[in-house]
Amino acid sequence: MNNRKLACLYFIFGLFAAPISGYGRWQSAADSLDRDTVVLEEIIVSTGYQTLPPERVTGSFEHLSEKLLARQIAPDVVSRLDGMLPGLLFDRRSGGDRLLVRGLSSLNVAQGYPLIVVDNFPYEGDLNTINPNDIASVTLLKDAASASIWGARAGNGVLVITTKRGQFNQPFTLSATSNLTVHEKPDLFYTPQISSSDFIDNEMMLFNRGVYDSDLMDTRSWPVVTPVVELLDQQRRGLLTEQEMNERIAQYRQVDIRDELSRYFYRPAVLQQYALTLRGGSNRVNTLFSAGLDRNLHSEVGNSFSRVTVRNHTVLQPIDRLQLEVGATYAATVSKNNHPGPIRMGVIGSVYPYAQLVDGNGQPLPIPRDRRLTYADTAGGGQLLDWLYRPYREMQLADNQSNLQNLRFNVAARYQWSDHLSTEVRGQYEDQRNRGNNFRGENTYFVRDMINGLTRLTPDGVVRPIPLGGILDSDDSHLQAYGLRGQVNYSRNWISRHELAAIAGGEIRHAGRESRRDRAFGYDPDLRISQGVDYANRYPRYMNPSSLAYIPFVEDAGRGAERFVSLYANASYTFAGRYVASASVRKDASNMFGVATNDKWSPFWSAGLAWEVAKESFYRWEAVPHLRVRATYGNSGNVNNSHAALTTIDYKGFTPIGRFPYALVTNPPNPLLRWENVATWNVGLDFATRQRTISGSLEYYVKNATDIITAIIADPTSGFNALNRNSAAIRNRGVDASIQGQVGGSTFNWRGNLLFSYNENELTAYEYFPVTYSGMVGTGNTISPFLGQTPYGLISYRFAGLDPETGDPMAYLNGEVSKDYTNITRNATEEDVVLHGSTLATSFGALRNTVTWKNLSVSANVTYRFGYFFRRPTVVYAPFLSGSVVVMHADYYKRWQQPGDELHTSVPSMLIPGNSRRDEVYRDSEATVERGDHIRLQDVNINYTFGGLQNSKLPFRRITATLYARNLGLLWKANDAGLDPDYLSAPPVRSVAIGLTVDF
Amino acid sequence: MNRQSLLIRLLFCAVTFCACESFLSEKPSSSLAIPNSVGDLQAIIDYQARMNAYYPPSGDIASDYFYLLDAYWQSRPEYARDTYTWQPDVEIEQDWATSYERIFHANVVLDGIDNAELGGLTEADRQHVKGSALFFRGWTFLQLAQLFVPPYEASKKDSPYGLPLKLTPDINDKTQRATVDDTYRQIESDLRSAVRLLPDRTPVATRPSKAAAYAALARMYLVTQDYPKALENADSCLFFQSELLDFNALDEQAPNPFGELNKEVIFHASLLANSGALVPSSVRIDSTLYRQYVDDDMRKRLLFSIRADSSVQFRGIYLNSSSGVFSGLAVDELYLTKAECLVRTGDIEKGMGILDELLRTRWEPGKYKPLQWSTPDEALAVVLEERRKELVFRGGIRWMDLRRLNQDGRFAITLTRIVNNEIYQLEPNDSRYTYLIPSIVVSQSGVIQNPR
Repeated sequence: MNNRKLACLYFIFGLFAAPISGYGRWQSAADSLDRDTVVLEEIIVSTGYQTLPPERVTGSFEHLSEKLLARQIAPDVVSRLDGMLPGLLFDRRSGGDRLLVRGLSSLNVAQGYPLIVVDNFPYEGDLNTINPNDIASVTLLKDAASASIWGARAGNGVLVITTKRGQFNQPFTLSATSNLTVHEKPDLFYTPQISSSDFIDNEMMLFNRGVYDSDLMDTRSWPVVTPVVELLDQQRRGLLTEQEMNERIAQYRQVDIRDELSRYFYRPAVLQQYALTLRGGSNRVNTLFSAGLDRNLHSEVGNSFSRVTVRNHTVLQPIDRLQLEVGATYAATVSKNNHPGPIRMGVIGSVYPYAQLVDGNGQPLPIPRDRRLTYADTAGGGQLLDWLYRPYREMQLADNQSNLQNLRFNVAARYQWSDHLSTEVRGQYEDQRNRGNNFRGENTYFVRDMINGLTRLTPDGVVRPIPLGGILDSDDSHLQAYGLRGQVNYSRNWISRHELAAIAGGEIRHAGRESRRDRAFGYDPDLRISQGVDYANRYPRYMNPSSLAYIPFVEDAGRGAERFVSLYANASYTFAGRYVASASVRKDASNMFGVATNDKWSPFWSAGLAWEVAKESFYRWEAVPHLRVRATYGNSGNVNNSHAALTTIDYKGFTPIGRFPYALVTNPPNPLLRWENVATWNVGLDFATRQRTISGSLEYYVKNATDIITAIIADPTSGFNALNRNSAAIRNRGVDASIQGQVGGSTFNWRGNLLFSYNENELTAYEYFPVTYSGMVGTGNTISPFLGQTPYGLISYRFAGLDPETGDPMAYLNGEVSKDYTNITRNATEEDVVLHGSTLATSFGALRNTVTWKNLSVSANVTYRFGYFFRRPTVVYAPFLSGSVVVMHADYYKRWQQPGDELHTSVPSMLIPGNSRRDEVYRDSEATVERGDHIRLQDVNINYTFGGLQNSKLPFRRITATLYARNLGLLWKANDAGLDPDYLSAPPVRSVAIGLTVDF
Repeated sequence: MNRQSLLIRLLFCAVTFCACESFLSEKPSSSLAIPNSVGDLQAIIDYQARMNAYYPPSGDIASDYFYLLDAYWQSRPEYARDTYTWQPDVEIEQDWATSYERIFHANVVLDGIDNAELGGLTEADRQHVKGSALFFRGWTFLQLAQLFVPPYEASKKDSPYGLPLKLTPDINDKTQRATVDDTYRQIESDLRSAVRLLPDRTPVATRPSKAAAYAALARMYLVTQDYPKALENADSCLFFQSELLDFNALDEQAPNPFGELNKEVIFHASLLANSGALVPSSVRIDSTLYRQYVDDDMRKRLLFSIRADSSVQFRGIYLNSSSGVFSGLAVDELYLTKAECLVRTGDIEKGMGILDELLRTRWEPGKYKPLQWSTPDEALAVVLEERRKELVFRGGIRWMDLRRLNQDGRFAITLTRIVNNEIYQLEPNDSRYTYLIPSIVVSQSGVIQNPR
């Protein structure tokens, strides 16, 4: 069915399904419950171990309420946090969203993620299984005093997610939400490139220079050549007249593959989201049921995601002193990944820009792949399977999907022994299964190519070591996690001057993972049968029978577990309501640490002080009736699970002699291995003026990460030249600030939120081999550790302009202007390079303005990032000039062509034959570096509430309609290259969402 | 309150202490497997690219059976050029690193084997895997000792210039040199234990067998000049495997008439060849050596070929490659060891008979005449001569023999190389017969350096 029609149908269903089913009778809830509570005092800080009123907190945290989370309409939790929390940076340099809290505290990219806690326990499953409509609040714990209760996993900050609950003594209410989001089609023309016509002219030039001759004459492996080269060859061989050839080439000049890609391979994404929440309670029981349905059709044709979630959370209070909680969450997701991605002529590489994928009748057309089209078309004289590759057909045939199911149970019991003392036991069990099936039928190129590759044509017939039929690759993974915690809570007030609140407890955690991968050959999806193949013997390749090959073996299985045993305690003492002291301590032992680490008593700890200055009798500043200062110090850890304390091996396949499975040791045992240690100083100031017209907080922190696990040079007697050990250190310093202003009353109201974060970081210890400066030059997007620099620093070759005679790029070698490209790219010294700075924004934040007039509210969030650099893409000639199919960047048109051009361009001349090191020197020179600073209109939310309907005849109390637009574009950018610094290959697409929430 | 504190105590106990040890002994999560079964450890033993290859080449690069043309020498890496010309300060870190990498793998296996799960395998398999690891460790220490430990002399066995005996996989171990005596005792004990545990036969010779362990022991006792024990072990080896190739049955026209895993191979191994200084197809055979083969000796044609420039090229490789060097153990070596030991221990007649038995398979049918000798010294000289002729391009052997025989004035020789018209010499018992410990090892661990 047409996707858009389907979307509309769902939308309509979402609007009316609820009222039809007649939940309308629970309409008596008091409206006041839902009234927005924006005053600071009502925030409850949840650390995952306890909930605290903010006045008892000495540490650094950020809180995001249900209402603010709902402001961003997005399919997942994480995207709803962007631009909403100071200190949290979304790093998008590698495509996805990576969260960085207050800079860097690890040298391993995968370890940079904050710990995510959902309902008091670390969340081990897939974050996409969480329905964002189930979330009541998100709290970001940033410093040691707030996070160190999470011990060895808290070094990158902790994101505490709390789901919605029922409440005692509340009538049942039902709330239904429907969101429909439409994304613009992706802009495939974002990266400017050389036109098809100029590409063809260059191909003709290279053909005349004989660049393709070795490929054209290779009748053994038949390398791919483009259609134009094929035509030129045919004309040269007299199979085609020059006129015929030119006519056909002229047609190609008009083609741009991006037109067809845009038309047949991409579409506007449509995201639908429906959620229902039913909650209420008596004086002994409260409960909440929720259900969610998401259907997302991604902009890549063939890719989609759908999710169903069901949840219940129930609290029982059978007697006054005892409270029992039971929760269950089920989520099922289906992801389809049938889009082919970039079209290629081989396993790697690219395709010529005039490729035609679909003919005038919408029929798929072949492009050359892996071997020359003229060969593939005729090889085997009809006895082989069709060997042509038709990308559009492949997309239609693809059947690659994964099904994930996540089940989570929570139980808790709390007994109040006296007014001061209570004990609680909490448990969680999580089970997640994921099954990925990638079925490629016999008609897919992958299967045909694999079968043909080893086919033998004998007088007795065709012999195929790989059977006819499809190939099914299955991936299964299973996660089981449990946690059990016992905790004692104590709180007491003495004569109202002394307040003590303390907790102490212990917990165990286990997360076990299993995975396996299989391949079935000759698979028939209807009969579900497959055929065996011979992995043990080698077979002659069709194209080169003297070369023998095994049938590829991809089966694989793995298993493992992470376990923790922890003891913790936390106390805060308040004197006279003005002075607060807090302390926490935690000891972790883990099967990932070495024995020596587990046996040693070196706990995580933190201490903090807060002072309510405004409550002092000497305090007279009436304009600012609320003023509080606080300071904390403490440490937490970072578990780098890419390096275990125990030996790990990696199976590599079969030995050349004897065909035994063999394995090599990838990780040596290291009983001294320990967590990475992160020590944080944090000082903060909170203030508010009268009526809270202006309120806010300012924080300064110093975060020292030590014992960072990284490779260091080793005594080779150990069996290794380099070993990963706790050895490096990073220092982060920064500021987080958030200031709110509000004016107006209940009819008209303006609210502004300004978020600002500053972070600078530097590697303060590093023991690896002396790295060469040439090796550090690049994009700065991967960690390149260098003492005294940010690990994500951008380093370039110093650029001396273009040689006025030749247009050659000139850089420096040993301080002298040089064109010795080989040595520049190998042996550049400190004086030959330029250190620009960080590729991560050093200053960033957001300004959110919300205007409310009666029931209408308009809110716009403007985000900004300053103080960083990026390297823009530019033209490289060598691969194309050596005969590879590479579509050059449009900087080609700015290249030096004649003396004098060096005055207005930095793009080198096209030198034939190509020199890849010459290209590299320019590509990685300071000439291609741009400032990343920009200001972005992140989103706009327009929202209208039809309230006070409980007395009308309608079955609902309130309807909220939302129009939400996201990624509206850059308002200002420092670079002139027309690039969005955070999205260098594809800009974020604009999206519009319509949301409707009905409360019954 | 009493009841409460009891409850708290119980809770803590349950949650933390009681279960802690066994709970944390679970293997951690990783995409990689944890070697916890006998099969996993066997898979490490079967890592042929390290266990059966990458044996240290520097002894052979410095040996006298071949030479390099100046231009070819010039284009070798620096350490290979310096090794070839016996530079006193040459560092052969790669030989050290790859050998200790193999020892590390063996130690990983030994660390886990006693408690490994059987999986589908048997106790006998466990014994075999353990024996294999002991073999690889002892065998590799033996290789290292020929490069980094001064030549063995019974009178100097307490000298402190032994190897660091790395016996656990723990990367935090302190590197310390053992005495020479302890080094050879460790090799002896590893190989003796291997003999007890290994099977009589293995499916292929990449996996060590009892015969391989006996052969390695025979080689070790030859190094320590304990000829009765060398004889005993050579005999034990030949009890399990003694079949010789009949050179008449080989195809003279084939590019490589021998090939890997031929029936003389007891244990398969090859040298690290990345320096190119030992590639049989690129280097020249010493012409004096070549002239010692008479025409009726088929080795002259099967082991060698003549190049266009009439220099001699070696081709008798026990590998399926023209660029590798076999450095494992083969039956012919054991015949020669047995013959030498018999001659040295006075049983000259029998020893020469063993040698005849070997050589008869190497000569044209019916042309072979039993060896003649008049004095025991002459007999020994004949045996050593034949040893040199048979074991050309057998990784490790010539260097080991040079170090051993130099101690005997009768057989001591000075090696000479001429490169770019410059003459280099290596006198008997020169300190350069022992390589320097790589400086990275000395700087990281503080072990004593070899004398210069």
